[in-house]
Amino acid sequence: MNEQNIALETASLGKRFGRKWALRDCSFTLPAGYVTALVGPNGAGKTTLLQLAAGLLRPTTGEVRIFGHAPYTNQLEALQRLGFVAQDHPLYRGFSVADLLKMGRALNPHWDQQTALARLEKLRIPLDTRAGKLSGGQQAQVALALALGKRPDLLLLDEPLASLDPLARRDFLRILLDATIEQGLSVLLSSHIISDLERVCEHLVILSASRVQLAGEIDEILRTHKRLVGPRTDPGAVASLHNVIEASHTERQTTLLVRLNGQLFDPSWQQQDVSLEDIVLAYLGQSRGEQVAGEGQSSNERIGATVASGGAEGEEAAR
Amino acid sequence: MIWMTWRQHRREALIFAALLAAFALYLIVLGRAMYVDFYHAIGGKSPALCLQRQDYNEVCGNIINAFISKYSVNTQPALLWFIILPPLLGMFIGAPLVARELETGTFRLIWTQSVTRLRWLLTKVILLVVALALVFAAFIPLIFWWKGPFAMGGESMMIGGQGYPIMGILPFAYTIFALALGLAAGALLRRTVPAMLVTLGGYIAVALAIWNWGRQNWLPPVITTWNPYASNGPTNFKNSDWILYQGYVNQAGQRVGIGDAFSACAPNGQLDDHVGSTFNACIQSHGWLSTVVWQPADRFWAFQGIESAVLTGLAVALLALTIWLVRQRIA
Repeated sequence: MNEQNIALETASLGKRFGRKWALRDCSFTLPAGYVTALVGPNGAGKTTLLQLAAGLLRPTTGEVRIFGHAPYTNQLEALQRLGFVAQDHPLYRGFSVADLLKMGRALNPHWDQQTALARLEKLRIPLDTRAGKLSGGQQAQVALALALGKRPDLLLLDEPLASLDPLARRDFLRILLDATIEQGLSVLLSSHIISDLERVCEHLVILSASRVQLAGEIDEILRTHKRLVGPRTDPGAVASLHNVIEASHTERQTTLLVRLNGQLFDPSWQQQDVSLEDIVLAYLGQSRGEQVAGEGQSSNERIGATVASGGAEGEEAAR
Repeated sequence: MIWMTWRQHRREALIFAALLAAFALYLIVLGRAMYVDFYHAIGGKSPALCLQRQDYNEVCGNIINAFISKYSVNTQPALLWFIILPPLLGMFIGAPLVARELETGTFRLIWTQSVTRLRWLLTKVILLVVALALVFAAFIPLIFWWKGPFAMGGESMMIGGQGYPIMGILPFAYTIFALALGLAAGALLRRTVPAMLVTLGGYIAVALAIWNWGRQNWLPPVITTWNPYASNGPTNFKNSDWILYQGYVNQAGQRVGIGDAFSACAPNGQLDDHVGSTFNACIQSHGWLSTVVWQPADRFWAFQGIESAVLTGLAVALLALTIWLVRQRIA
């Protein structure tokens, strides 16, 4: 893949606020042309990651690149190619919607007035109303229209679904999907609602406890993650070859959620498919387990699992 | 960015334009009345004629005093609006420029458009400075015109005079400084109201420091010392020279307070300081000399230049700090 095919690339990216790390050792690559979901619990570092990608934060460690350009230092090239909508979808409250569109046209060389206008018209958002007088959902739609009107190559959206009603959510996700197909737009959107995303997202980044737990193509993730059910045993044998994300035991039975590195030959394990939601929850549970590590055995044993973002991270987490 | 700057700041711009227009109107209307009085002769004497002929007898003295008391800064305090204007601009345009974006979160909107932060900031600052330069340039001749009658009497050109800060290029220099102070305070504090207060406080502190300590020392003052026993001293002082100290010094050059001199040489309060008087003989016996420490009036533009350079230097430093904060530190 050359630079043009990589929408977003991070390498050992980290951000510290004071003494607290909001994001650590974040390394992943997003190929261009896909919708990627960034999931994780509140405070996991999703907003930090998106703002680093948008050039609004300067990395403490490592780097982030948008189509090969560092958004913070090499600003203009990256700024022209990205669209960003913050969680609170800020707008100039005193500006009318028409003023905001004029702003978009004045400040962006590739501005697409037609699309932005058509979109607002379809949503019946009046152009002469001041942004401050619009409802929260309408404000979010205007902010999205501004970001789309910019004709970005990468759209970064922080919790875009939060202020939309279910119907608007579906409509919005469909527009994103169309844009990826028609314009080759790449999208990275954060959310903690997994079910909504499964339909449109091809890629997934799981962020928890300031670290990337998993990053990859969803089909691939579904194919490589299996639930193994077998007689009660120590999962060490499996863990030596595969990544055990979650292990639970009953008196006679052991259930594992594993990421398979290749084929599993042991016939004593029965393999089952797992839903994306279960995989996400397992990773989130795992990282939560890390946070309380040392508090004794829990039913969800953590067994030195490494994660997709690199073995070094797993090692450090285990310390 | 030009349209954006106008759209975002048009309300403040219009308010300040209205204030300035009102001030210009006040200057013109009152100035015309003043010039009528200045040339209006009563009993063959007008303030203008008296000053022209350097006629300072009792009739002329009364006429001139009446004129001054009617039109000086003391009786027309509205003139001092021009002194309040720079800190107001710093507070209401400078301080919110960065701070409000940070406060309302709109920096996440504006800083992710296809415009770098540096260009965003500099466009706004340059447009602001150019607009203000045009406005203040228009006021320079207006204020000199208003001050014309006083200039004939000397008062207006006095560097330390009350009208001095509103003359020439100083209002513009103070405004540039106030704006930069507001910008830096806003970028540093990230809150509009605290930034406005810090701007006001910082402005007052710097202005007072310049007015009380800085201005009199922009250039080393001229020190004229003479022996009051031998001569009446120099007579070539102009009304508009800025006298910083007038009194006695001992042989070592240390100042002798007027009070000390009086209690030593005029214990009954009677003063006769002509050459050869007993008072001067007494001063002479102590070995004291008369001295005047002063800034000549012809340093007017040199002092304007130095003070403006100091303020502009401060403004540039504050702007550099703001640029660094906006590009490197914020968010």
